[in-house]
Amino acid sequence: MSVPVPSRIKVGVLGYTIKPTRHLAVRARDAVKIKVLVDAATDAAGIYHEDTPIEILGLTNPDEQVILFESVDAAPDVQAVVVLHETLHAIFSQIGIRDLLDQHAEESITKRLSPLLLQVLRENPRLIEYLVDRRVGGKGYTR
Amino acid sequence: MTPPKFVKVLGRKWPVKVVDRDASIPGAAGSDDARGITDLEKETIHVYAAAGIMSDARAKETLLHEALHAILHVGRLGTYLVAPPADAEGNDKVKDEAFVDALAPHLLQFLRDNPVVIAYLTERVK
Repeated sequence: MSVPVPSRIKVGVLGYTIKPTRHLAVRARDAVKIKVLVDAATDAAGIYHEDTPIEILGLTNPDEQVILFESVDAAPDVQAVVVLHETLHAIFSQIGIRDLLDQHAEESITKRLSPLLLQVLRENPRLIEYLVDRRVGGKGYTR
Repeated sequence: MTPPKFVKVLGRKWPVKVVDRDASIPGAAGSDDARGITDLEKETIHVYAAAGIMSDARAKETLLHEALHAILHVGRLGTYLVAPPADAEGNDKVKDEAFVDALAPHLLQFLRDNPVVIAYLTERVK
């Protein structure tokens, strides 16, 4: 891809730094602050297993305004999905959308929404052009 | 700028119709504050902006809102949502509405604030 992964994004009032990271696999005990990892290391009975190895391709830490993505073990298109996936976590964190999700569902819905949303963004350049156009007024709407 | 004539979701074109609020549109009756509706059966998006009843920015937010309904429907993502406390039946339509209502304005702001990110995401691998 000729367009590099951005190093900064803006999510509402927060600026996030996006950092490439090599071999982003962790153990749950190393990252207990990250809710998604806590969810991944919690079994169906609700028991948390701190030694669970977790294969992950990205992480969002809203407290530190940082997004990490796997830069070695993920292909370019996968990286794009991961960046959008982590951005959705950042947006969800900002707007408190977890109240509208089933328990542990944030990761599930983000995982499924990010590739779909990426495809919609890629398939609809005219939609994106329309949405980001900030000019007020124009010709108005016609049937 | 006028809205696009369609939104593609997983390769299928969902026509975008800019119309007056009209009770003849399935699901449009009964909600005076609705700004649009997505007909999931006919895969058609209606935005009630024809009569100039909403601002340009509001119309954009409404189109993104309705497109998110289409995406949630196609992706069968409603199963991960919970109903607001006021909705005793917990049907998918109400669950989708609360989620999309919260997400659309913030996602729109994100798209507008991050042109570099959009350029990166939308570049197709050759």
